[in-house]
Amino acid sequence: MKEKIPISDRQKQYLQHQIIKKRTIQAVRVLMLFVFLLAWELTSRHGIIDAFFFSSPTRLAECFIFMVGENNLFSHIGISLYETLLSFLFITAISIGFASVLWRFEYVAKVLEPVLVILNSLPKSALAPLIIVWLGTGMKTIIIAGISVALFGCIINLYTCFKNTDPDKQKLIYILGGKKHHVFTKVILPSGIPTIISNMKVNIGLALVGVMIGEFLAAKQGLGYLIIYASQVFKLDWLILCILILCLIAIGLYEILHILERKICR
Amino acid sequence: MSELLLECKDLSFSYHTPEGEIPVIHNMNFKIYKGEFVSIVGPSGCGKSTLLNLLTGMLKSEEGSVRLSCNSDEKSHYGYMLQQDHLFEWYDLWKNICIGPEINHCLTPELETYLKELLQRYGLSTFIHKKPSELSGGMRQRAAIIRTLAMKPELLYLDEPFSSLDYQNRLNAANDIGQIIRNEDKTAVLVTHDIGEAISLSSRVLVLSSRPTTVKKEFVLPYRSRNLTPLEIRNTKDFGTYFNAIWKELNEA
Repeated sequence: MKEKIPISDRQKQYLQHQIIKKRTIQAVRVLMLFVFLLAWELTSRHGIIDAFFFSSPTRLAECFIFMVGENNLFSHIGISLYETLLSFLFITAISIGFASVLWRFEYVAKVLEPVLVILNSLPKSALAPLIIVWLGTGMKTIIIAGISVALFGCIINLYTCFKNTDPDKQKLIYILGGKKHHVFTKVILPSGIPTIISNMKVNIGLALVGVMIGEFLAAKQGLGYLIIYASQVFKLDWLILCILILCLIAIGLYEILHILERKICR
Repeated sequence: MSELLLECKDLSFSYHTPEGEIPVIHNMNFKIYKGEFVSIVGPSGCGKSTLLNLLTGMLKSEEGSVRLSCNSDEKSHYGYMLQQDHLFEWYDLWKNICIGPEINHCLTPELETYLKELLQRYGLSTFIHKKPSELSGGMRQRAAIIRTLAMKPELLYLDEPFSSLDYQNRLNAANDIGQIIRNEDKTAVLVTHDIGEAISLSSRVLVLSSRPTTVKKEFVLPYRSRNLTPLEIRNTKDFGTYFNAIWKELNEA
């Protein structure tokens, strides 16, 4: 058991100051949001901005209630989320697996390096129409579009991380009688976890981008489909609402990974 | 004369690069006997670490041979301490120490007891579940040597193991490690560029020439039989004499 050290008054003052600072930052953030929403609402009501193009918080709230009832909004959100999560899981699993193979077989890595660089720098939205022709429209195409956006970059990042792991730490395992697979499980993978998680944080956003590209082109459901539909029929309330929901999803997914990172890298 | 443990005979080695061949070791000969603590000092970049890699078999010699005669099983012929402790931050102290036996599937309850005894003896038993970052520099070095001893090696190779520490920690760690090696009755080969460290720890010092390196001179030191700690050795009268003699040899290397 740790002994409790008595806290001095100055330490108490310092801690109090830190708490106040943190709370002030949070309060200012909430205030900023409130002021923004209020300004948006008032300018839209008084005709300073056109409510048809820019909507307003109350119009969005009404639109939200309407869409939940009439358009099954939650099912669209659910589908986009499902596709994003599935793409994200595939990206994570495939990239870790592939990077591990490249680390294990340096020769293969050297041969494949230019291919990976080309695939990574290719704009993935250009691939989407081709994937539609190959696989048709539907969830499979959207998930593959989601995967394609982040996969190659992630493989390159993870492989670079694995390759640059401290050679002396690897040597230590060999000295202790270990084999290459011991080096992988005891050094490469554990030391790569911070990089894997930071890549996951980037990938969750990219997967969402990929899924949106896929849904723009090849879906009958999902937020991407709603956005395209709304833009075509000029329902800008719908469009702005979908974008706001996407923001919330992105924040939520990122936050989940942030919590995971704190738990694992503590 | 005690039992011969390691013999390095006519050893030569070169690195091959697209730019050309770099001869590093040329015709090196020496012997290490059981219970000795031998330091190898040489000018910077002369190939000390390459020599250790050859002795451990991580590099294959081009000419000559390295012969290790051990009684123990093959996996625990030698232990190796690197320039840094390389304790894994993702494991606690206990898991770090057990990593060798775990890899070799030989973590028996007897070995666990032995390791716990070592931790107790060298003041680490209360830190068993701490992460390496929570230990001081000296503690980390002691943990690293216990990790090396966990495989019960006959011979220990120490590749400048204190070079990453500040001066005070360095003296303390060298003192601790020197005593641990003596207490556990191990044979050790220390590679260092610190003459003071070499004299205070060793029974014999081999001075290497510059590249391509070979053994230039050998100093037999009297301290080990006097049962002095490395810190006490630094205070003896003839420490300075040896220091100057080795220093002179190194400068002429």
